[in-house]
Amino acid sequence: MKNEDIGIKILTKMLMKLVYKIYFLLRKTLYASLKIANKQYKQLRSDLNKNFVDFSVRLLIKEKKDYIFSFFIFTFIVFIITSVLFVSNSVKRDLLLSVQNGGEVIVKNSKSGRYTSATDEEMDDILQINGVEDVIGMVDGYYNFTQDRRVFHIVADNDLNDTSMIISDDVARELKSFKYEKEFNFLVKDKAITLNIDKILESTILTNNTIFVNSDNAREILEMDEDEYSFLNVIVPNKDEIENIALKIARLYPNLIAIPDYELKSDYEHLYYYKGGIFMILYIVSLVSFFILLKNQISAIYGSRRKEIAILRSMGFSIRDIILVKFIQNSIVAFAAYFAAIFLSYLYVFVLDAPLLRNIFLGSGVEDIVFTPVVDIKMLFLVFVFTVVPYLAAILIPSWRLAIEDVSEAMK
Amino acid sequence: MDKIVIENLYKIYNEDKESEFTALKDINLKVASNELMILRGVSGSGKSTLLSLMAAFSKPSRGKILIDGENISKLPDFFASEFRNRDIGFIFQSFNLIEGLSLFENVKIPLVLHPYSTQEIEEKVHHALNLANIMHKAEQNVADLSGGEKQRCAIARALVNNPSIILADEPTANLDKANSLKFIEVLEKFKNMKKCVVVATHDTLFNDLSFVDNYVNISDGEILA
Ligand SMILES: Nc1ncnc2c1ncn2[C@@H]1O[C@H](COP(=O)(O)OP(=O)(O)OP(=O)(O)O)[C@@H](O)[C@H]1O
Ligand SMILES: [Mg+2]
Repeated sequence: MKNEDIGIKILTKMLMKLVYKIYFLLRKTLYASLKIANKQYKQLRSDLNKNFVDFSVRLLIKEKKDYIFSFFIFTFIVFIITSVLFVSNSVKRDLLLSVQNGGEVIVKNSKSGRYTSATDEEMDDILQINGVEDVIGMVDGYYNFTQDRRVFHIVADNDLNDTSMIISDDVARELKSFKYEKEFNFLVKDKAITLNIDKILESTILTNNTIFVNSDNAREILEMDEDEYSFLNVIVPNKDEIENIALKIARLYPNLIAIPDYELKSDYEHLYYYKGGIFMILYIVSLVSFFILLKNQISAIYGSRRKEIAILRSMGFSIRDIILVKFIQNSIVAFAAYFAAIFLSYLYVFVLDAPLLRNIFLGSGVEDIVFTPVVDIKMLFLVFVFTVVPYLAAILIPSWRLAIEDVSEAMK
Repeated sequence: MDKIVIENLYKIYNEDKESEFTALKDINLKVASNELMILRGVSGSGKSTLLSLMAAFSKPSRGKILIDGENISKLPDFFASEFRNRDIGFIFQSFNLIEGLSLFENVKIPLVLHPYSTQEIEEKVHHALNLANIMHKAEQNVADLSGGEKQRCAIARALVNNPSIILADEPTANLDKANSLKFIEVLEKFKNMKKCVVVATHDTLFNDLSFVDNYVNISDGEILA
C-alpha cells in the first residue's frame, strides 16, 4: 500500500471517530427533544427512535464518500470565517484594553494643527478642575532607526534604571540583524545614548515595535524638555462627568485636544473596517465555496441514492422518514465540520498565531505577534446560524423531492 | 374472510396525454386471509402494476383496494407507509437489497421504524433469517451473495415484521431451476404460516402446485375468467 493511502485511511478513521463522538453527544440531546416532539404524534407510529437514528448513521457511514468532500469544504468555509473573526476580535480587545488602562480623558497639545507636547503648567491647571482626581503625564514617542528605516515606539517606564531598557522580541530581532545583541546606541543630535537590553518581551499587537526606557532617557531620546509630556491621562472617577470635563479643558486651553476614552474605543472598533477589501475577498471565497458545497451535496442526494430511497419507501419509510434520514446525516456532517473548523482555527490563530492572516491585519513588518485568546460565543453562534442552518435548509428540498417520487417508478 | 378486496380497479399511465396507456382495466378480485394466489400472465400484461397497487406503492386511477375493509388507495402518505410497514412483505424480482450493508442490516430495515430494543431486533432478525434458511451468512455484505442467497435475504426481510400479506413479483426470474424449486418450498411454508400470498409470475414451474388455492390469469390488463 502507498503511504498516501495509509494516510487517507488513518484520516478517515479519525474523522469517523470524531463524527461518532459528536453523534453520541447529539444523540443524547436529540432523544431528549424527541420525547417532547413525539408527544404530539402519539397516535402515529413513533418514527424518531434510537434504531432510526442509528440506521441513518449506518447509511451515512456506508455513503461516506459522498459526504467527505462536503465535510472538507464546510470545514474550510467555517475555518476562514472564524479565523478572521478570532484575529479581529483579539486585536480589538487588546486595543480596547489599552484605552481602558489609560485615563478617562486623554489630553494632547497642538500647534498649527499638529500635536505637540503638553507642559507642567497645563497639567497643574487641569488638576484644578472639579471632578478630576489626577493627571498623569505620559512620555512616549517614536524614534527613527535610520539604518533600516524603521520606527520604534519609545515608552517611558519609571521602574527601569537609566542604563537599561526592555524591548519586544520583534525589536530584538531587528536589532540583532544589525549586531546589537546586548546594547543599543540611540543617536540623538550630537551624542549617543547607550542602553543595555535588560529583557525581551513577547510581542503583542500593542508592543510589537516598543522599547521601554526610564522616563529621563525617554525625554532625551525623544528630545523633550524636563517639563514636557507627550500627552496627559486625566483620571475622572465619575463617568457622567467625562464629557463635561473634556469640554472644560478645551475651554481652558483652546489648543489642547481632549478626547474622552469612549471616543477612542469606537475609533478602534472601526479600525479594521477600512481593510474591508481583503475581507470582502475572503467572504466571497467562502460564499462561493458554500455554493460548491451545496451543489455537491445536492447532486450526491439526487445521484445514486434514488433507488435506495425507493427501497426504503417500499418497506414503510414515509416521506417524512426519508427527509429525516437525510436531515440526520447532513446534520452530523455539518456539526462535525463546524466543530472541527472552530477547533482548527483556534489552533491556527491562538497557537500558531495566524501566519499569513496576521500580515493581512497588521502589515508584513510584523513577525512575532501573540494573539490573546478571545472566544466570543455570540460570534460563533452567528457563524453557526449563517453556515449550518442554511446548509440544512437547502438540503431539505432535494430530499423531499426524492422522497415524494412514486415508489414503483423509482424502483425501475 | 377476505383479506384483499379489489373493486373496479383501473390504472391508466399518462392519463389525458397522447401516450395514455391503460395498464389495468376494471379489475375485480378477492383474496382470502390465508389464501395463496398465483397471478399468471405474459410480459406487459400488468402483473407488476397490480402488485404495486396492492402494496400502496402507487395510487390507482379509479376503483378501490380494500385491505381488511380499509381503502388503502385513499390513505395519506404517512398512513400508507405505516400500512406497508405493518402488513406488506414484498419480494422483488431484482431483490432490491441495499448493497454495502450486511445481510443482517438489510433484514433489520423494516424494524428500525419501531422503538424495539437491540435484543428484540436481534431475535426478530434471527427468526426471519432462520425461516429463510440464510442464518449462516448473516454478517456478509449482500453484494457478495449469490442470486439464490440474495433472494433468501429478500424473503427474510419480507418476513421480519411478520406481515399478514406477502407479495412476490417474478420471484424466480433471476434464479436457476434448483433455487426456483427451493422458493416453491418456501411458498408452501408461507401457506402453512397462514399468510395471504400473491405471486406474480410467468414461470411454468408454478403450474399445477397442489397447495396453491387459486390461479388467476391476467392479459392486457384484464382478468380472464
Ligand atoms: N410508468 C409507466 N408509464 C407508461 N406505461 C407503463 C408504465 N409502467 C408500466 N407501463 C406499461 O404497463 C404495462 C404493464 O406493465 P407491468 O410492469 O405491470 O407488466 P408485467 O405484467 O409486470 O410485465 P413483466 O412480466 O414484463 O414484468 C406494460 O405494457 C408497461 O409498458
Ligand atoms: Mg413485472
